[in-house]
Amino acid sequence: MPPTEGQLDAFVAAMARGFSEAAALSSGPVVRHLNLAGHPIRLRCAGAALAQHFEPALNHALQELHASAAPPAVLTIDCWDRAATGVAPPPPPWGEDSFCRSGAIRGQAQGRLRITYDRWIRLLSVYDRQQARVFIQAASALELPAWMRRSPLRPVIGWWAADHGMALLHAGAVATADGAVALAGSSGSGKSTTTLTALAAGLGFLGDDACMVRFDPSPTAYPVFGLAKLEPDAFARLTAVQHLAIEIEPGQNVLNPAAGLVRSAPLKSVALLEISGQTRTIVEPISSGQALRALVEGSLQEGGGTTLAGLRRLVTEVPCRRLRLGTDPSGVIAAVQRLAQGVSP
Amino acid sequence: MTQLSISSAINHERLDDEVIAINLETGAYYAIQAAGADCWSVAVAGGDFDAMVQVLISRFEVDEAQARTDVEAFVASLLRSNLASPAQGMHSSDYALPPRQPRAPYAPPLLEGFEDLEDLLLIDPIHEVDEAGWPLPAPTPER
Repeated sequence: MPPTEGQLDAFVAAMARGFSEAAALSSGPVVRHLNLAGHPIRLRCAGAALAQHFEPALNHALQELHASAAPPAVLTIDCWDRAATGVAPPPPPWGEDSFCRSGAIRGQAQGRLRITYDRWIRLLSVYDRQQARVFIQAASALELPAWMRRSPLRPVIGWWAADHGMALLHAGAVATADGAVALAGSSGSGKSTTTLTALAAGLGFLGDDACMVRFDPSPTAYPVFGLAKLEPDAFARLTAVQHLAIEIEPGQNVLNPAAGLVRSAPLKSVALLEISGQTRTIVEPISSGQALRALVEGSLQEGGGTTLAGLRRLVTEVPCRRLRLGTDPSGVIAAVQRLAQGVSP
Repeated sequence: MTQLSISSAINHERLDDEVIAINLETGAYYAIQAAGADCWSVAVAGGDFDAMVQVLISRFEVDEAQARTDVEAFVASLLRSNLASPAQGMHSSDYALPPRQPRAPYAPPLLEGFEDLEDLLLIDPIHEVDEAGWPLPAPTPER
């Protein structure tokens, strides 16, 4: 039997009490005021290690505000670390057969509450759409995978964005003075390499694996996570960005391109990336339907926060092209710069 | 056959002549083209089996017998993939179908699935829960 509305209400109320209890046990929560895509968001963490886990990627969005000066948050994200505080989440109000392999909870994919539970890292995410509140409960911040430090809170940010006329894209994004280009594609398609190549050439950075698109009054790209990662061969090749490397993930080339970060830029094109293996970079037309499929595949591959309505809107409002990446970096940059002008090369 | 109810786990959008549907619980996604997209739009609006057949006859070069056979197979595929279930409810005759040249060339409605079958079909029982009732990771098999 699926839980009743009353049982779900009680579950959310118990999550709120759990956070309050955890915050009290950790001498008050660490409070951060963020600005994501122009929206004030309040992030409260009970457990210092959890706050530290989120901060590197979200540093770019931090607002150094006194609590009294902070604008009213449109979303409050309350997080607690069970290992650090000793506070367990309330019991799940659904049966064991409701836990899907994907992390979704059967029956909670599209309703008032969106909930996932990743049993492998024991991370519970609850988004209450009516109350504009998120609860995150981690079994242990110290046991969260290091890669999550590059894109924390991704599913809940995606869910919230979809409810507010935005789409969280599984795409890098770069900008010139003319505008931004979203660089989409599946893992290994060249998003990070293209983004960092563009950064090295002086273009602005909005993300190497995710960016936010706000549609009204006109499509605009925003950064979400302020870090990037390069595979070893690309890192060795791109000497101009090696000084941006930071040590937050053992064995990985994580970069902090804060100096090149752009706060927002009008989104002029979406490029679906493919590595061609040829020298030249080629731009090809692509239908809206083809673009939508490619974006859906990329989004599903990434996991949470799929926003089909947002992706549909993106491919109908922003020109989409296939970008077959050549091996000559100058050709890649020239193509991206022309796409940022909103014209097909 | 009565009407169809699209599963609450399905997020779907129509773009021109194609429907994309995602199962948010399994991560599987589906594409449905042309005649199938029209049948889907009919189902979403509460139209029944006969309404799907009538839409195909009026919009494509297909006779009723063939359309009935094809719609039956298409609906069966929707049910089999848990995209929809039989239902009864409000019926609208506004199916929001895109304009189409009358009697367009016909291809049977088809559900194209992009499923990770392993994820969908393999049983993944919960082995153990913590004291609060939340599942723990399955133990790693010993080598």
